[in-house]
Amino acid sequence: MLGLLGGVYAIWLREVKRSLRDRGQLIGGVSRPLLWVLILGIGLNPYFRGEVYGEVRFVVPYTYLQFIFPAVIVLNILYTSIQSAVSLIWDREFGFLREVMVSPMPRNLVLLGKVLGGATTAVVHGCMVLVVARFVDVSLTWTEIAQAIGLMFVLSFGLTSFGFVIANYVRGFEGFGVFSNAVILPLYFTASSVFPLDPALTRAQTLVVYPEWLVILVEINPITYAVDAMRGTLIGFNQFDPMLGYQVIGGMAIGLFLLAVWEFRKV
Amino acid sequence: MRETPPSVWKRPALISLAGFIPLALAFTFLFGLSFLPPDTSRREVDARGIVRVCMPTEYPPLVTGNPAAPGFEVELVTQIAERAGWRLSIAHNAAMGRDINPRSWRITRAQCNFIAGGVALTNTSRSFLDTTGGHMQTGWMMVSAAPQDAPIAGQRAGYYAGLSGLDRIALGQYLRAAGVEVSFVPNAAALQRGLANGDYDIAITEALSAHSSFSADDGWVLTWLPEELGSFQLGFGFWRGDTTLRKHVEDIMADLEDEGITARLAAQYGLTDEILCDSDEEDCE
Repeated sequence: MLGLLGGVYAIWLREVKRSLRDRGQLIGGVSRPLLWVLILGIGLNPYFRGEVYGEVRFVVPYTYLQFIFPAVIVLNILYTSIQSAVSLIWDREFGFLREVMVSPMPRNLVLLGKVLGGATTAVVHGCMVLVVARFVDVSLTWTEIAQAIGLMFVLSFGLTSFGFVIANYVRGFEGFGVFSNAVILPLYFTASSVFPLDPALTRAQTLVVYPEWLVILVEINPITYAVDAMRGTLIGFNQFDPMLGYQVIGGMAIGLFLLAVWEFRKV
Repeated sequence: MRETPPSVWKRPALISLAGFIPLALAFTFLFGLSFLPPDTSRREVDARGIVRVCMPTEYPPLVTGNPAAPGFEVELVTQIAERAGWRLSIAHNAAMGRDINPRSWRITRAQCNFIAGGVALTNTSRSFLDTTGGHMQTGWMMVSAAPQDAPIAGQRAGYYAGLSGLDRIALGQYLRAAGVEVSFVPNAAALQRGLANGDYDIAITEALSAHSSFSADDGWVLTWLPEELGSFQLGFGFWRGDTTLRKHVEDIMADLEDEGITARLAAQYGLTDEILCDSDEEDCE
């Protein structure tokens, strides 16, 4: 038993070491908070500014910077988690996976080690965004930080598993890059990450503001609820039932890991 | 008998400290960036050297209209402006004293940098403005000649609503349930007179109005009515997105509180500790 756990630990450590050496991934992790929070956030912030008291009621009782801050954490996690799965293609390409597969380690535990490694890296990248909390004027208590890191980990675990499912169907590195972008950006943009759905409105009223197809896309996207849970934790704003976010993130982590286990049998 | 094969498990080499250097640099870089100013609101006020503040014409004891004792918030804002090196320009808005609906005040960014003089920190006001933490609180208060916890059935009560947006319906239901005979009075002076003359047994008004009209030194007993009837904190309101200006004012307010200046000003206007909020102790939560 200890040997098996040791094996999981060794694979986890290898994934973490690989991510520490991957300068491209690190630069991506730094550039996203830079571009999305500092550039886009500041650029749009004045257009969400109050001009006449009592005239314009803001849907979100926060600045635009504060509104997108939790979403950028989810974006960093999305990219890092899914891109961590590129290690599977790498290992397959260079024969390392074959060596691991012939070891006494059960496949599920090999996968668990890799998913845990990817999730750890994604949490670190999520924390990179958390570091700019002072800039966006979000004050956090230690409890809120711990809660956010917990949420990040469960979300990362599910998304890394999803990345492995994708990686299983992709043969080359180039294909994976295109595929991951084609998955990540649509998921992010339809997660109510850059525009709010007013929680005070009924569904019928929301359909007056946005076209129905967009509202449906937002509502069926599980990342919507992950962003909402992160907002609830970090800025105290929820567009949906706060419990729904936790349930969706937990369900995603379990469901996607089981799917990855199923897919990993074919490797 | 089959022998157990020797364990091939060997502890993998840990990550060297040098391996963490790029990550540490990334975190340091982002942390450094978090000190950049997110907007230009403070820089604009610094450049002009004038801070414009919108206030009601009169809302005792926060704004009195009396040049000798202009009011607690007027003096507090004066101290803030002095500390920041700005000249203070107060834009008195008569509509703020007449109507509790901010739409009717017609206050714009062009008129003032921030709003003082009793901005209620409610969800509604926060949907229009960024606000400082509450530096005082208000709610319904009862004034009587002798100590009593709650209105007693059959008592005659003088009631003055004041300017606050406190829940009058809940108060009305509470007073009806208590069996109190309520008379409406037009202003704080009439309430003061009526209670002193014995026209009423108790006076009901909001806390700030009660503190400015009735003093414990004169033998009056001020008692908070139950919290369920509503209460809220008061602070300063900033235009949404003016974070740097708000933070600077909050920092100065914290210094003034630490140096005891806020407490001294409050004492001048009869504001007791039960009205003031201590930012460290969060006693107004």
